[in-house]
Amino acid sequence: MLWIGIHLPELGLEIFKQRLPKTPNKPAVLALNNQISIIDQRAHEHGIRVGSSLATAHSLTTNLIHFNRDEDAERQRLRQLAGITYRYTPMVSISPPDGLLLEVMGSLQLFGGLGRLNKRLRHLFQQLGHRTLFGMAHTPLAALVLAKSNSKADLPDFPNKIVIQSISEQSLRDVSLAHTEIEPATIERLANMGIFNLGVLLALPSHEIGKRFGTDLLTYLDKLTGKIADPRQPEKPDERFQSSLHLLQPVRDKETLLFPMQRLARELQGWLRARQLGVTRLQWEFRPLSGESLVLPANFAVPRSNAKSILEISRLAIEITALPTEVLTVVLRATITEPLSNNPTTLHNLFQSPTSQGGSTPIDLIDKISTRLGRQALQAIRAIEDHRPEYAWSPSPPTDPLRMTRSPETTFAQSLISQGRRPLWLLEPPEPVNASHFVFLVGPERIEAGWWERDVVRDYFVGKDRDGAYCWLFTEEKGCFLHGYFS
Amino acid sequence: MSNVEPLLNQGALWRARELTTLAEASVATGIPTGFKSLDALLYDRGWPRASLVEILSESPGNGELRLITNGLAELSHQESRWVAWINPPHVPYAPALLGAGVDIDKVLLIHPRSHKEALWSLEQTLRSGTCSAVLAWFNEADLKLPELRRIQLNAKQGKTWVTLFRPPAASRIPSPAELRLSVNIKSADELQLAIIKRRGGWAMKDIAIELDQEPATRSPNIFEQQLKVWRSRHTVSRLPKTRYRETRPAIGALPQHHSSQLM
Repeated sequence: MLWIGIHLPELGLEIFKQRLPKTPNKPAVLALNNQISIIDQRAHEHGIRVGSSLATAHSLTTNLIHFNRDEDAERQRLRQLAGITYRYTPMVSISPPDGLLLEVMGSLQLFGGLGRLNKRLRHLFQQLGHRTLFGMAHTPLAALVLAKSNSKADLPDFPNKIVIQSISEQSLRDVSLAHTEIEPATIERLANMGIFNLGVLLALPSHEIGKRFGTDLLTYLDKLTGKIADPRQPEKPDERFQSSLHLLQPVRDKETLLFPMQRLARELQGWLRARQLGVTRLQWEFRPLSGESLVLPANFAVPRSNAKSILEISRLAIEITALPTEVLTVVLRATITEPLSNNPTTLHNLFQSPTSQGGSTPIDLIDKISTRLGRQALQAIRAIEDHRPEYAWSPSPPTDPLRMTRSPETTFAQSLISQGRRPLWLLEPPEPVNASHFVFLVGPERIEAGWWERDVVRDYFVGKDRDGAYCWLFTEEKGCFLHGYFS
Repeated sequence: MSNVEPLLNQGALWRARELTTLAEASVATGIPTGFKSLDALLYDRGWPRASLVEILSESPGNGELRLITNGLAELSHQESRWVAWINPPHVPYAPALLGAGVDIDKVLLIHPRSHKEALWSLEQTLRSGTCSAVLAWFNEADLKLPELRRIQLNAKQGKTWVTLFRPPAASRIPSPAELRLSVNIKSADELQLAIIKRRGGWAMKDIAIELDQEPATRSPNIFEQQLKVWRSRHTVSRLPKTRYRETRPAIGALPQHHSSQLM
C-alpha cells in the first residue's frame, strides 16, 4: 500500500478567496470565534499570527479581509477535490478538515511512475488554486503526518512494499510531534519529558506509554506505523448516465431518428427508476460521420422519469432545430438529476391529479411550450407587497414552489386593498401622454415609495380618454403618463 | 316530425318564434358571468365551458376584461387547471386580478413570437386539456376561417372556455364561434354589449350591463371560501368570562372580547 497524503493548509481561506471575482491584493485571514486560524502570505508579512484575536489583526493592518470559517463548505470542497482526483486512483478518501488521501499502488504503472504521478497531482492542485503539501508513506496517517511536516521522502518510481515501509519509517523519525494528531496536552507532557520527535517516541516501550498516556496514544502510534490496520472510507463519485447508440446506417430524417432515441430514453428510464431519480436536464448529441456533432439540450420543469414524456419533449426540441445531414451516432446524457421525492411539486397532488383530460399533466404543457417557444415566453404572475405599481407584480417561473405555499391571509388583505382601484391592464413601461387629451375624474392618489432605489413620487388619477376608455394616469415631475386601463 | 323533436330538445335546432322561452330552454351548465341580465340571454346561462367565444372591442381597455373577470374568478377557484393568456396586449395586473377574485396561482402568460407559434401554443393548451380557460389575442390580418374552426373543435375536445379578442370589423366576417359579443364602455358603471351571434337566439343590440363595485353583490362563493380559510387559520381567543359586579367596570379594565366577525 502506497498512500499519498495531501495536506491543504489554507483550504478554509482558499474557499472564500475563490468566490471573489478577482484575487485581491489585500491580506486575508480566516477566523473562528474571533480567533485567527489561517493566515495567508501577505497577512504573515504584516505580522499577524495564528491564534491572535481578530481585533489585533485589524489593528496591525488597515485593509485586512477576514472570513468566518465554514466547515460545511470545506467538507464540500474536499469531496469535490476527491471527485477530481478520482481519475488517478479509485481509492480516494477525505480526512477532514484539510487532508486528502490517495492510495496509488495500483496506478503507478498507468501513470509512468510515482514521480510523474506526483508532478501531475501538484500541477492539478495548482490549477485548482490550492496550496498543497505532499507526503508518501505506507499508512494513511503517516502520509498525512509527513505531508504536514513537509518532509522530502525519496521514493523510487516503482517502489515495492518493503522499500516503502523502510523509507517512511526513516522519515517519520525526524518528524516533530506538533505535526501529528496527538492531543496538545499530551504533546506538552512529552515535551516536558524531553521528547520532541516521533522517532524518540516510537522507540519507547509501548507498555510504558500505554500506562502513562492511555491506550488512545498507543492506538494512534500503531496505526501510524502500520501495526494496526487503518481502513479508510473511499469517496464514491456521483453516478452519471451516458449511453450511446451506433446506427448501422446513417439516418437523414427526423422521423427515423425517433427509434434510436426511444431506445435510449427507455434505458434512461430504467436507470432513473432504479435509483428513484428524476431528470431535469438532459443532453442529446447527434454525431455525423464527419464534421461537427449537434448537441441538443432539453429542460423539464419537474424531474421526470417517464420515457414517453422525455421523448415527447425531446421530439419538440428536435423539430425546431436543423440536424446534421447524416447522423451515425446518438448519445444521451442526463446532465442534472434530482431525487424524485424531494421536489414538493411532485409530492403535491395538485399537479398530478387527474383533473386534466387528454392524458397529460399541467406540467407537460409548461415543458412543451417552453421547449418550443423558449423559457422566457412562459411565465406565471405573482403579486408583491409594494406600493409602486410596476413592482407590485412580477413574472415568475410557473413551477416555483414558493408561489404555491403563499398563505391565503395575504391574498385576502391584498384583495381588499386593491379592489376596484387598480386597472386590469398595466402598461409597461408607462406611456408619456398629453394631459389635455384626458378628462380627469377621480384622484389624486399619491404614491411615494422606493426611497432606497429611485424615489417614486406620483399622483395617480382615473381619467377618461377620447375614446371613452377609463385610464389610470399619473403625474410626475417629468410629466403625465398613462399607466393602465380599467378595462 | 319525429326527427326534429330530439334536435329541438337538445338545442341543436330552435324555433325563431320561441325566443321568449329561451329562459326555460337554456341549460345552466355555463360559467356564471356575474351579470344576471347577461346570464339570462345566454344559452348556457353563462359562458360556455367548452367552446370558442369571441369578444369584439375597439382596443384593449374598452371593458372586455371586466366582462370576463367574474367568470375567470369563478373558474379559477372551481377548477385546478390553468388559465392561460396567449399574447396579451399589455400586462395583466396581478393585484387587480386578485381584487377581482381571480386565483393568480393558476394564471399562465404565454408570449409567442409569430402567428404560427401563437396558433401552435393555443392548440397545445387546448389539446392537452390542462386549461380551464384560455384568452387569446391574434393578429387579425393573419387569422383565417379554418384556423377558427380548428380552435372551436379543440376547445370542445379539451373542455376549455376559449375567448378570442378581435376588433369590431370582424363582426362582418362569419365565424364558427358559439358566442360573439361586442363590448364598449358606456359610463363608469355601465357596459354596452351587443350580441352578434349566440346559441338558441337571435342577435341583440344595446344591452346595458351594470358594473357593481361592491364585492357583496358578486358571486359570494369566492369570498366565502377565502373567509373560511382565513378563519380556520386564525383562532381568535376568547378571554375567560370573568364575573363583573353590576357596577361600572374600573378604569383600566380590559374591554370584553367577542369572537370577531371579519367585516
